[in-house]
Amino acid sequence: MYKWKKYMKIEFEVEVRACIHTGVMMMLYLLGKFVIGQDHISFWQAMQMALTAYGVSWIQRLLFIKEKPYTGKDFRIRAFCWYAVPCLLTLAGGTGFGWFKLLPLGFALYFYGVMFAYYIGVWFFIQYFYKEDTEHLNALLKDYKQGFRRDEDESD
Amino acid sequence: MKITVMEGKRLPGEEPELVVYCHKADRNIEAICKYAGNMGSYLIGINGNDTCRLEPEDILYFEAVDGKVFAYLKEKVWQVGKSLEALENQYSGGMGIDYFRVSKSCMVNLKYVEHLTSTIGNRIIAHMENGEMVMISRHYAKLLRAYLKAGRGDEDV
Repeated sequence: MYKWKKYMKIEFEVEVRACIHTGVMMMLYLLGKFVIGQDHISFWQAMQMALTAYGVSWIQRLLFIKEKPYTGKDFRIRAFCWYAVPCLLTLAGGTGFGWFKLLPLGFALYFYGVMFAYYIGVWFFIQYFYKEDTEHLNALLKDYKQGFRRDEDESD
Repeated sequence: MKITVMEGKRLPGEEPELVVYCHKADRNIEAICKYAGNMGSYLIGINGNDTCRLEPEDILYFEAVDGKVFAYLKEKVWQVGKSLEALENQYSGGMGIDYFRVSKSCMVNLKYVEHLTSTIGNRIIAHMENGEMVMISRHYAKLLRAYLKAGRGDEDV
């Protein structure tokens, strides 16, 4: 039961992130099409993007799935994979599913370029968020320890 | 709180007794009782053929591995004969010593946490004073945040 609940939590987290990735892919695609004078995306293309985003999201989660501290070289390798593998998967999705057939080459370059920038942007946003959170946590810990020492001094 | 110390009520060498008169035993009273009960208590640590008396306040963290519980001090690791649950009941949330459960298999002494790092997956890494790192799982990270915010567990977490 515990394992099942844990899996469900991870699955939910992955799906939320996949929805964001899907939304970004579809928005970029539609924006590009609007610029070249088209205004639609097919149901199958939307499903293919959702599937690609789901795969990207799972890979990003799997890279940091273990309950252990990731530091040094291990962290750097995983961070690189967190960025590089989704880029490759997006490239594979776009090429494999033929999202850019009958479209100008510039369209594909624009789509991939912005998607790659988006993945790196997400990574830096996450890092910034955890950096801020770390500072907040350490402030709490410092306050806690000061209270602890004060009590020890008073008891002496 | 009114405190009265009555000397001469026990024979020399006899164990002193603490009696608390109150309307209702609240969290503070329970913490005082736990603190008084733990005073002078110690653990027996085993490392190979060595046996050592361990002061609970000197232990950085406890870790359960394959059904055995180990106490990590600054320089040495000792096996102790108590379960993590028993240690948690005895030492967490009391006064003077403050252990906090950070995963199913680990309990750290917050006094020896040098700093904390928030990391991917809403988990926290506790950097201990001996340079070791302890991973705090997402579930316990949430509890730790609430505990630190509440300030020494004065409020329910």
